[in-house]
Amino acid sequence: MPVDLKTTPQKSLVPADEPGTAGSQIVTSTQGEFVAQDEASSDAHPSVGADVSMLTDKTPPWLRASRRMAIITLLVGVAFWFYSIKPVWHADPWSHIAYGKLIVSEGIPATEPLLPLARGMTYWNSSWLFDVLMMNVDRTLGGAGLQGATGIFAGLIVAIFVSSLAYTTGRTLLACGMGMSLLFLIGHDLSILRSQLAGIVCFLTAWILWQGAIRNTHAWWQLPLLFAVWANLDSSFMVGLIVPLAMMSGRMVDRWVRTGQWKSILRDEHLGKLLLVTQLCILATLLNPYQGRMWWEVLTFSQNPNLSAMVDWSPLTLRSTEGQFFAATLLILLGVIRSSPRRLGTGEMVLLVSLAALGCWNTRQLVWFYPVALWILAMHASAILSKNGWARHASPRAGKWSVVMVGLVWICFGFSPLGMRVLHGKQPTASRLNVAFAPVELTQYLVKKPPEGQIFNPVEWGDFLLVHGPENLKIFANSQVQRLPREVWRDYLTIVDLGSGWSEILDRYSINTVVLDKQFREGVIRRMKEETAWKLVYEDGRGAVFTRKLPITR
Amino acid sequence: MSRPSTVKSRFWRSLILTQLASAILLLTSLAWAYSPVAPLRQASNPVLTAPEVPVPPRTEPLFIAPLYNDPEVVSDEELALVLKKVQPRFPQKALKPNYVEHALRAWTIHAKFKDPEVMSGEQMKEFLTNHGQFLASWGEKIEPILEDRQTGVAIRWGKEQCASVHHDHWLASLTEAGVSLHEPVFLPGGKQRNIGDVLRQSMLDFRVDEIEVEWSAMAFGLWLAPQREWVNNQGRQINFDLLAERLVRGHQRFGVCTGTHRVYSLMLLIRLDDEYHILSPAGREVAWKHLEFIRDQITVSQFEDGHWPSNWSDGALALKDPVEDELYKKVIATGHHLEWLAIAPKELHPPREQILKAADWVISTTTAQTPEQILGTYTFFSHVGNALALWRNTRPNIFFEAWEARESAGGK
Repeated sequence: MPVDLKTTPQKSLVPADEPGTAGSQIVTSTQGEFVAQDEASSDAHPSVGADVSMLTDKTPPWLRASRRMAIITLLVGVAFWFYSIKPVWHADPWSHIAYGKLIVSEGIPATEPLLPLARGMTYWNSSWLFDVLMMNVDRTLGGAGLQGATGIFAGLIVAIFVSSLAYTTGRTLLACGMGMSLLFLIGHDLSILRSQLAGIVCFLTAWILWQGAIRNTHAWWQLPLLFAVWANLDSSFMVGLIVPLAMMSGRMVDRWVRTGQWKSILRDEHLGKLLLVTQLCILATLLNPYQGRMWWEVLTFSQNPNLSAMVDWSPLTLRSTEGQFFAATLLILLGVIRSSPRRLGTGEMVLLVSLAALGCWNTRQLVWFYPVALWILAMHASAILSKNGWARHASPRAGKWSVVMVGLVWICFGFSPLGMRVLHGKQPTASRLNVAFAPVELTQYLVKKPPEGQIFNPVEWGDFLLVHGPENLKIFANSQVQRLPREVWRDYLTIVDLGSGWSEILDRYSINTVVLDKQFREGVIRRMKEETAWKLVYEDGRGAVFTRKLPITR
Repeated sequence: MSRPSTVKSRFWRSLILTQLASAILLLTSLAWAYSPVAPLRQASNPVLTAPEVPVPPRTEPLFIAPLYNDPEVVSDEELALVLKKVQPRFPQKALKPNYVEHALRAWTIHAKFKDPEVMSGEQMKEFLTNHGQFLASWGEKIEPILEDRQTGVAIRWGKEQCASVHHDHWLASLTEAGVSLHEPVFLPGGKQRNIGDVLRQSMLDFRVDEIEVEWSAMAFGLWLAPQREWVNNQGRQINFDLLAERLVRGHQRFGVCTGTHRVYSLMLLIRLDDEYHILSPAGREVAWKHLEFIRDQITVSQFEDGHWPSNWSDGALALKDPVEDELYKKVIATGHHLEWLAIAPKELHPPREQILKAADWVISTTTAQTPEQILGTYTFFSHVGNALALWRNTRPNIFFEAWEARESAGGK
C-alpha cells in the first residue's frame, strides 16, 4: 500500500492576539504558550491518504516536547558541556573542599582552623552547605564530579533563565539570544566552581518566582524555603532580598502614581500578600548557623581591608573590560527601553539601579545585574518586535522533539568528563583537570618531601595545597584572605611585591620553604635564585620550591 | 455592609500580628547570635564597638619569684656596688620615659633612696602615670604619652625619646614594679583613669603579629593568669598558647635586645603555667623545647671571659666567626641572659661555671663604668642590677635599702 507522505496539514501558527488571525486553530495560554490544537489531541488523526497511522505521533501527549524545548535543551546542553570540560582552575573549589572536609569531621569551627597564622581569627562561613556538598562531590566522583558540578550549575542557570524568558515572551530565539548574552557576560564567573554559582541559581529562581508571586498560591512557602536554603549556600541571599524589596516598593509607587492617592496603597490586597512573603523570606534567611549575625557579616564583608588588594572586590571602572561591557549593556538597554511600547515598571527600575550600583561598588557583584538587565531588555525587545509585526511562532509538541531532547542530553552528558566518569569510570588526569592552574607535580614533590614548619605560598595555591599537599602542611595564606590578620596579609604582599625587607619577613616567620608560582611571581623566583641564603630544590613549568640553606631552627 | 469592614479589620489585625511576630523573631535571632551561649558567637558585635575583655582576677600583679640565692654568683658587696651604679639618677628635664620604665621595673614602686638626687619609686611612677609630671619635664610642645581612648588609655610609643620605646613596655614595667590596678592615671585635660584602663586598651590593641610582643605577653600573664584568653578589637581570640608560639617564631636575632626579652617572657609564661595552667600541654611543650634550644645555644656561644655576644643565637658559629660587638651589646646579652636564668629551673641552665663566669664578667664591667657611661646606656645596665638581685633572691630596692641602712648604721 503506498504511503501518503502528506500527514499533518500545514497551518499558519500565529498567536490569537495578533491582528488578522481570526479563525486559526491556535490555543494561546495566558503566558503566551502556543499549542497547536490538533496536535495537542493525539486522537485527532488526519483522514488523508492511506494508513497514515503508521506515521502519526504515538508518543503520549505528556511526553511530547516542542521544538522550542529542543532548542533550549541544545543551548543548556552546550552550556553544560562547555563548562564541564573546563579545568578546575580557580582556588575557590579547593577552598570549599578543604573547609567542607573540616566541617564534616568537626562541625563548623568558631575560629579559623586551617591557617596557622590566622589562629584565633573569627571564622565565619556563609557557604558551609556548599562546602559540604562540594566535599561530597569530590569524595564520590573526584575531579570529574567537580567539573560536572560547574557544568550543571552553568546549565541550570541557562535553563532557568532561557526557558522562563521563552515562556514569558513566547520568543524562543530571543530568549536563547539573551541566554547566550548572559553566558558571554558572566561566563568568567560561571567557570569558577564556587558558592556564587548556587547563589545565581537561587537568584534567578527567586526573580522568576517573584514575578508570579501574586498568582502563585504556593509562593508563600516556595520563596521562603528558597531563601532558607540560599542563606546556607552563599552570602548572596542579601542581594536576593533586593528583588522583593525593589518590586514591592515599585508596586507601591506605581499604584500611588496611578491613583494619585497614597491611601490606595493600603487598599492593595496583593501588596499585603507580597509584604508577608517578603517578610517570610527575610525571616527564612535567619535559619543558618549564625542566625542574625550572618546579615552583619555579609553587609560588612566587603569592608575588610585585606580585600582591597583583590581585583574582584575593587570598584568598577570604565578602564576595565568589565566596566566597558557594563557601559555597553546599559546603553543598549536604555536604547531599547526608549523605543519600546512597554512601560518600565518602577520596581524594575529600582531593581536595575540597585543592582547596577552594587556592581559599580565592586566588580564581583556585576553578576547580579546582568540577568535582570537582560531579562528587562528581552521583555522590551519582544514588545518592539510585536509592535513591528514580528509574529511569535507557535511551537507544536511532537514525540520527535522529545527524542531529539533525550539525544542532546545524552550526547552532552556522555561526552563530558562527568559522563565519562559515570559511564566508563574514567577520571581526567590531574594535569588535565587542573590545566595551567594548580601545581600538580610540585605538590607531589612536597608530598614526597614534606616541609617542616611554616611555609610561604601564593594565595592562589593555598587551598590546593591544603587538599592535595602533605598532611598538616602549614600554609601561609589561601583564598580566604579576609581571615588573615592585617599584619600577616601586609607581610604577604610585601614578600610577593619584593617590598622593602621582604627577605627579613621570611626570617621573622621562620619560613624555611618557599613555594612560588610562575604565572604571577616569576620576578620573585628570579630574585630568590640570586639569594645566597636559599637554594632551588624543585622547578617545573608552573612553579618553584626553595628551601633555606641554613634552616631556622627553634 | 458589615462584611467588608470585618474583612478589613481582620486584614489589619493579621498584618499587625505578622509584623509583631517578625520583629520578635528578628530581635530574638540577633540577640541569640551575639549572646554568650551561642555556639558560634563573636565577641564583638555591631552594637558594642569593642569586645569585652576579661577583668583581671587581682588588683596587684603577680610576681615571679627567683629560684636561687647564690652568693657565689654575686656577693652582697658586689651586688651593692652594681646597684649603686644603676640607681635612677636622671636629669629632670627631657626625662626619657624609657629610662624611667627600666629603672622602675628593676627598683619597683617601693624604692626609696637616701640620695635626694635619685628618683624614688613613687616619683618614677608619678612621672609615668601623671601627665602633669610629664609636661613639667618635656613642656607643652611635646605630644602627651598618655592617650585617652573610648575603650581605655593608650600609651604613645615609638622611636622618639619622649615616647615609650616599645609597645606595652610602659605597662609591663609598671606591672613588674608592682603597681595596683586601681592606681590612678592622670590624662591631659585633668581626666583621671587607672592602670586597669591601660591594661584594657592594651589587650584590645594587641596584635599577635606585631613586631614586639615580649612586654605585652609579660604584662598580660602577670595580670590575667589563670584567665587564659580574650578577644582583641580585631575580633581575634588571643590566648597564651598563641603568645608562646609567637615568642618562639622567627629567628632570635629579631627579638628585642638580641632576642633575650623573648626568652625572659617565655620563661615567665612557663613559671605562670606551673601555678596557673595558662598554657595547653602542647603550648607548654613548644615553649619548653624552645628554652632548651636557647640553653644549648648559650652553652656553646659564651666567650672565654664570660660574656655572651650579640649573635649568641648563632650558637657555636658565634665563637667560630665572632662579630665586633660594642661593649653595651655584650652587656645586653649577658645581663639579660642572667636575668631569665635567675627564674629558670636548673634543667634550663647552662653549666654552672658558665653562669659564674658571666656574672663575674658583668659585675666587673658594670662596676668599671663611670656614671656618665652608665647614664648613656642605663636601660641595659638596669637589667644587670635586676638580674644580680634576682640571683640573691631579692629585689634591688629591698637589698639596697637594707644595704644603705647598714652602711649608715656602720658609719655612725
